[in-house]
Amino acid sequence: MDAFTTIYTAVIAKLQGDTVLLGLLGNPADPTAAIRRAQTPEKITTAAVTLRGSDGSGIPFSGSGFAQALGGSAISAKKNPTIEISVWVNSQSSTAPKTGQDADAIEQRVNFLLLQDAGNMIPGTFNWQGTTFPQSFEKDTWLWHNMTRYRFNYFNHQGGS
Amino acid sequence: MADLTQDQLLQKLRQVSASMIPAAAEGMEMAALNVEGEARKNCDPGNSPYESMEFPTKWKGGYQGGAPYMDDRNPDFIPPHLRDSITHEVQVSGSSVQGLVETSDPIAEFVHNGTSKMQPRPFLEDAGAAKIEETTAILSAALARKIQGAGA
Repeated sequence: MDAFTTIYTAVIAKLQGDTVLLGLLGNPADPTAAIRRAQTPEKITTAAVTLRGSDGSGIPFSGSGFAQALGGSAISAKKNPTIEISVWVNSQSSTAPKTGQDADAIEQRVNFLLLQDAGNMIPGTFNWQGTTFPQSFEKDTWLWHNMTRYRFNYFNHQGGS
Repeated sequence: MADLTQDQLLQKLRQVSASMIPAAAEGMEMAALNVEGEARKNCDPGNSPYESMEFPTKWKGGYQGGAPYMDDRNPDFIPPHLRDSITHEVQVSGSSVQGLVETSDPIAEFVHNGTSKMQPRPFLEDAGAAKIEETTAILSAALARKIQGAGA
């Protein structure tokens, strides 16, 4: 498993393991279905948090870093990847979450977990920043959609001893 | 020349700071234009970096109840009018200089942030990120010119 996949998996696991977040999502029976990697197209009927990630290897929506030779065959690269996290809330649900405010609350909890949870940040990462975009409402699917793009850094070491 | 008192030094620094604002605004104008160009490229059919991504669903180009809707029957990519809607502006407020690259097109948020049926194509965010080093260089150069001019 490469470094980015390890980090990406840790992010998903952290969100899936947060009882406050799960409560805001309506305590889903299967957290791994409610918080998961994004699919396209989505078939969302209950509240969900979906993630899309890229380590920046030639993918347009991610940053790049610099590489530094460490001697011999060793290289250290500072990576600047992006993880996009969408919050989806079905406004036609009979129970909470179902409002735009509910979606905002879920997004704020995710923000806290990734940006402010001092002492419990994702291992091996630093300099987390998030850009939150205005909430949208899909009239054809009745979904509230909040999206935040997170950028962060990690060092990727290859080669050497 | 006598040494400045602390108050006099603060006053001098405030004057220097104030004189930098027009230079910062001028630099920001160039920087924002540079980012706008990148954002437009991101939305330009044939040049957009998102074209290699798989999109099972494309924007059909229709509106329902004032909001755009998505449909998978149309092979069109990002509609060109989105590219043409991108603009920039510089706002100066007090000692704050802010550059904005924006679009008022109602489909922009859906294209930029994606929908439940369509992957995001964050043409603005990516433009800012792609040009961050150039933006810093442009602003630095604008301020440096002002400082050097003031010292001449």
